[in-house]
Amino acid sequence: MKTMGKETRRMLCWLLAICLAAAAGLGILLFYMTNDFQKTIVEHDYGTAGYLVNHPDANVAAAFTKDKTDSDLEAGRQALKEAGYHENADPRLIPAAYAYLKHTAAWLGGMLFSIFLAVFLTVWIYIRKQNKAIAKADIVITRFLSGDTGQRIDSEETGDWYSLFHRINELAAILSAQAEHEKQTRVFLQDMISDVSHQLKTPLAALKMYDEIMAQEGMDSETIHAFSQKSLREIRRVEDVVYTLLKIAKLDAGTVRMEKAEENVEMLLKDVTERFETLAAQEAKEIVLSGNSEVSLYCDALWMSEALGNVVKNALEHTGKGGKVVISWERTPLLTNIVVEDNGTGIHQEDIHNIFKRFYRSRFSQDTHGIGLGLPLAKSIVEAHQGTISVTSRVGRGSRFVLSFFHLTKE
Amino acid sequence: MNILEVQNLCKTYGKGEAEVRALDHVSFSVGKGEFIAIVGESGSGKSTLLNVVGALDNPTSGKVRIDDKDIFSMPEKKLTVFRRQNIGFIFQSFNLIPELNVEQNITFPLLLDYQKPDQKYVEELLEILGLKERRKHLPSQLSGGQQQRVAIGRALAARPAIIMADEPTGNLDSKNSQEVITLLKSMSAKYRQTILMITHNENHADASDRVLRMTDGRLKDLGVAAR
Repeated sequence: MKTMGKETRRMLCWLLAICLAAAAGLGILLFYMTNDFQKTIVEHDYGTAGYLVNHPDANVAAAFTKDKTDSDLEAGRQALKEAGYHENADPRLIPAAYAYLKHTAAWLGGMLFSIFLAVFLTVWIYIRKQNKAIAKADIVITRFLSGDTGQRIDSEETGDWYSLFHRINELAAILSAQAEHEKQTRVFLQDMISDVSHQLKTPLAALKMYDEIMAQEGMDSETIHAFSQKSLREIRRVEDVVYTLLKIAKLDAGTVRMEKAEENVEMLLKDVTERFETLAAQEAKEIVLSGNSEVSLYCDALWMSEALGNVVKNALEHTGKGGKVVISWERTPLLTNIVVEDNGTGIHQEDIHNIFKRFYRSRFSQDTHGIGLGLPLAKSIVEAHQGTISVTSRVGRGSRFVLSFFHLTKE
Repeated sequence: MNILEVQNLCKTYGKGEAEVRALDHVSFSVGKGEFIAIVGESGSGKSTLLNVVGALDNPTSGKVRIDDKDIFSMPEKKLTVFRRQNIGFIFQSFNLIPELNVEQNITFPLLLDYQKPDQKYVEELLEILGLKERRKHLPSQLSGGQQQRVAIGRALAARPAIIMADEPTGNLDSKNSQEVITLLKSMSAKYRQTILMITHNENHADASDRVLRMTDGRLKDLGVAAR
């Protein structure tokens, strides 16, 4: 123990005070015990002396064995008082009482000493152990603070201190994970920027080319018309990338305030599917809604229809002519599930774990229109509602997307 | 700093001709709060991986560091305590204690460490897991989905560094599976809980942050999903 903490010092002072108080108590106890003993022994001596005074010719043994009368006692008291031998005399003047005092003082003192020695030793060992553990933890924490983020306190044992150390370790893990997370975020941003530039580069290159062609073939109105149509398509594509990215960025930054309210699921889905009706009719595809019209979902209607729209759009894009997209919903005790099922091309096993990645492009899909942001956006929105999105798919048979949401009562 | 670091993990069964490599130089790391799915066909070594990483089985060679501690350098007794405090398990077959009720099953791991359960947290777990009305029920009085929810609560109660879930939906129908997965995912997000989950269905993708694929004892990282 190099330095004792304030708490430890205070505890030792208390212990010492209690020890002294106990010693004082013992002193008082000793005083009363001696007094008591002295009274008894002097009383006895009065009787014996009085008997001898009243019966001067009696034999000495009789003075001890015979019952004493009150007059015996009185006579004894008178006789002995003259010699200064009475019950209130200083105990040191009465040899028997003095011997008793010394004897008892030694016993009680010894007892008190050994009890307090044991207590002090126990406390001392405990404090030493505790100080050692804390000093060790202190060193580790200091090392952690000075940059060695791999440092952890030994906490494999059970006990008060170790569960505290365990919590400190958790804290350390969280701190270093955050630092790591920041690093990852930087890498992620870098990747993101390069993906975005790539996505914009392609339509821009096309636009540049179309513009050159139109400038050269300025006379031919048919060519101009054809290429302005093409330009418009590329511009829409750029627009799509920019707007979707803005939405994702808002969700990522957590700046979006979800204006949640109880929304009827059927109404919500009708709103969504309306947007695709013309498109679906053109390609002879069918969208079917099925589910209990009573079911409602606590969500932000605008964002939720954006998410559902993206899933439905994806389903339509991956079904052929005459395809069918079935949207159903159900309410279980814990969750509300919205299922979007199609009978389209399905998702290849290599792709299935990647479809929610931003800008992911499949090697197997013939679809070239997508920009790879629709499903990631849907996922971000669903997660902002504390929900999950999952997908099951078989190539050639179709895919099934399930959006699950908890019944949130609070928040 | 990663919560879990696996380096060159190997596990072989048998010798010579009959040697089977269940794990073949597997390395990966997991950050705090990640929700990771391990996919692969049956027999590809997924469960062996989870058992070794969860310190239920010893590797032939290689290292596993959880929260920067080399778990196989610990003596057995220390490892038991470490496992209890740092690793939560969720099994396909629930493994609840039949004599204890829902609440007791959830707080049981804490009581093993003589800790007082944080009653507020336990109430919160019961609420989220939808088990508030069933807190005094015995496992035999619950459906499969409910039992698995109790197991999730038990794994979360001790706030472990990492939760290992071995096909948690293997015994459940699709509706209950959906509930269990959604719960795991939202718990991972809410409590920044690291979860390592095995799924067997190749044609299914859950909303995990990252997917690792096991093929014949080898591991391939399929990368991070959208964040």
